[in-house]
Amino acid sequence: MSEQARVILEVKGVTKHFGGVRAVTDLSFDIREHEVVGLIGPNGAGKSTAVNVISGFSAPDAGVIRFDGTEIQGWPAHNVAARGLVRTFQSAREWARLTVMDNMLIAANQEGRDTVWKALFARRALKAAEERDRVRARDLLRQFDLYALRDEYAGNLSGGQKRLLEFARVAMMAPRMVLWDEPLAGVNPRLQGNILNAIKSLNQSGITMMLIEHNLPFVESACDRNVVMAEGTNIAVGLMPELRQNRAVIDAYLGEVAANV
Amino acid sequence: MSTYLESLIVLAAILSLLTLGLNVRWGWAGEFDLAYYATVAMGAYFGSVVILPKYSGPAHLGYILGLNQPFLVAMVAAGILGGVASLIIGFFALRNLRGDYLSIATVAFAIVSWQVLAQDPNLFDGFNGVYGMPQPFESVLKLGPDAYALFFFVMCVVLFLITYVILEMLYRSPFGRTLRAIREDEYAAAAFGRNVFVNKLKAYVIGGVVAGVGGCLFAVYLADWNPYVWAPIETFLIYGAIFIGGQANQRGITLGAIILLVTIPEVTRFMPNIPGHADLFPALRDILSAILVILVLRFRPQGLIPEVHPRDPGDGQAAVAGSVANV
Amino acid sequence: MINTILESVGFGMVTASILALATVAVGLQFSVTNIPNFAAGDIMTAGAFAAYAVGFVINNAVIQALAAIVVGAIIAYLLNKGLLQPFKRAGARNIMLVIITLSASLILQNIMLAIFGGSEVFYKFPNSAPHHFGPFLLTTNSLLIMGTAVVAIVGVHSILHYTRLGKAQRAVSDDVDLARVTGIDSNRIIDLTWLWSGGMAGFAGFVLALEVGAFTNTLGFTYLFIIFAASVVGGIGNIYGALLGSLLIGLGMEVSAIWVSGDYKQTFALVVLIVTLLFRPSGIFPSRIRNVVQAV
Repeated sequence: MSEQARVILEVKGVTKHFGGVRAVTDLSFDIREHEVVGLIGPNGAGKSTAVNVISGFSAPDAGVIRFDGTEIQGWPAHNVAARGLVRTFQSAREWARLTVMDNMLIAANQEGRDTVWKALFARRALKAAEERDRVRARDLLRQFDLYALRDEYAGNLSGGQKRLLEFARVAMMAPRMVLWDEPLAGVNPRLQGNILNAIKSLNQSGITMMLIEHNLPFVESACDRNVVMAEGTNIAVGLMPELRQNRAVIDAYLGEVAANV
Repeated sequence: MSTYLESLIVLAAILSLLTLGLNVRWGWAGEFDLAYYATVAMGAYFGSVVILPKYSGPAHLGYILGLNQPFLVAMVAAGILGGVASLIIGFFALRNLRGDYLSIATVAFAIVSWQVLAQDPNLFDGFNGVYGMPQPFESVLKLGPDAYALFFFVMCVVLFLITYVILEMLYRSPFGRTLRAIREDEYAAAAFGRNVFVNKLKAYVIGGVVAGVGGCLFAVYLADWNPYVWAPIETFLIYGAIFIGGQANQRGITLGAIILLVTIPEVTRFMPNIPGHADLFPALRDILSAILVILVLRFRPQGLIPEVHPRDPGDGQAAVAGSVANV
Repeated sequence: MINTILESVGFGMVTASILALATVAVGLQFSVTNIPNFAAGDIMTAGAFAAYAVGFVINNAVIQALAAIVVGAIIAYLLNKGLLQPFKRAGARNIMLVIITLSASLILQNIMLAIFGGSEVFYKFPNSAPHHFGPFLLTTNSLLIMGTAVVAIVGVHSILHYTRLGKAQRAVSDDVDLARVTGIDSNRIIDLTWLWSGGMAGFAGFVLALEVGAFTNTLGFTYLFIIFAASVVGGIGNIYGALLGSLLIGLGMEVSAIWVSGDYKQTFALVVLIVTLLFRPSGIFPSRIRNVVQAV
């Protein structure tokens, strides 16, 4: 089925160098709608930089990035997010001194509601829209087992709960695609199953996903196929079993192992 | 005695108003801006030269403008100037600078602008200062001194309340929540679609408008002043009022302003004047204020009246539905 | 005209050498705190006042300088131990530490105000003869000041690069935890760094006071921003940057006074600071590219 789905994210020839460091060089791959694709590779392969460039937190030196038909390379992050491409961070970045419910309300698409003018002159319409958001938020919080914590300051949550809140916020925002930057980082291994379920559930609701993770068994259960990066570029694409036999992939990982011995 | 209390409340109203403006920048948006009082000074100076008649003193000094306008016009003009100045400063400062670098740049700006305002003999009368400010509505109302004092009192309290209410509406709106998200983590805010720069700039400008209005009001309250009133270090005391009172909580901030900016100076004012050490008690007062700030930041960083903790009423249904997250 | 410019260059060299001394001292402190210390200038002022006060009792410049060094070192040490460390241990964020240094600055300025009053105090060596060095016109005092500054900076550089203490300190300033793991007693190094950077700052205050001849309790606080200007222009975090920045700012301040009123010398430095922060915050010799625009 995914063979026929249209391409939602097209990365072509993307390059990003920092001074002397060639973080990403001529990176290219495509993601189809509704897929869950893993982005894997040894440390220093440039995966985080790639995510930063695609999501607008870093401007590429060269290359084209097309999301849902529109070229977005060089766009600032908030514009990319507004287009429907969202990314998470290696540490779950919640808004600490705001309540869980406020975290959800902020994640909701504001549709231009958060202006000064509307704050002073459209209060009734704002209230009604906020009520609708609250109803949706409560349901989502229930799904992620955070409803009882909705009035708690997000900064007081445990690491695992913060991760789940991140998922809930993404669900609230209902983007077209999410780039997960190491969703297992800082999470108790016992919660991996919960995270996997959350990913699958969000994917079923229609969100395309790209997942950076080092935990390869997890990547295998979560992802339909994978893109392998090494030294800044795309060295292989495919399913896990075939990647395990791929010479280039083995060299890249072995190289990492050898360097760490 | 009641007029003494009246004048204290007037001072409290004006200084609280000014503190509410800084709170928009710091408490809501998390911008550690040390140029706030410079914007207040701009409002004061600009408002003054709008109210005052054309300069007619000795030739080696002088001030610009001198439009002889009524107070309300000056107040609006000062507010607009504060907003426009903040727009320009904020546009450059907020694009690239954060945290401690923003503070250094803004202090530097505050010192530069103070030096220009205070030293240039032709801009605003140099170190001579400003004196003989006509009082608002004085010629129109023709009241006796006590009645006028009461009028001034009511006017200040009303201005304070109007500012308070408008800012409170902004705080509770989606705009306010967006600012708080930016305050907590601006990268996450950007990742969820917020234009961080534009929103920070909006907060900066709003703070600037309040600063301009408050500065103009403070100028007519003081009626005579020299540049040292606007020394850059004063910004710290307004921050102190916010830290002590309660960040991002307007009730707390008003309390903090009353404690730090009105009560402590008033109490220390009645200390005896030790000949030869005229600076002793003002110095002690500032030391006391700074120590108080340090203590509060260490032991009660949320302030006396902390930020409001919103609660969601919920919908009365079960807490745990078919949970996605449960294995 | 050329003569005027060259004369200003001469003055600029003196200004630059004092500025370099102060900037290196503050930079040393920055290397172990990683936050701008708004009280650093006031440590300089305290040193100046200490020398001035001792000058009433002992008419010996060396003893007065020593007083400045000792007082600077003690205040710096107390600032770290009594304020910054407890806050750090309680988990304070960087911005909070900056606010604390600002509070400490207010306290120090006002203590000096309370003790010495608000009017200017006069502090200088007896007037000395001017000498001509080609186009430069410098007094013996100025030469002495420049000389001491150069010696002090060379001393710091030598200590940093050729002694064990210096190497340990550079390790700590690079990465505290890594240094600890390699057996360096990071806490002791940090304490020592505060002591000797504070001493240097006190000495810089002494030298600055001598140069300007009259000062008040705000001497160091306003000077601090000229130091920031030199640090930011030259590039934060390394000694060559501090030197280059001091040279540029010092010369710039004096030469600019030819065209703009002398009252605005300091304004020149501040404007350069603002412009540099806005457009090239990493400076000319960036070595520690601290996240001015923080990457994700």
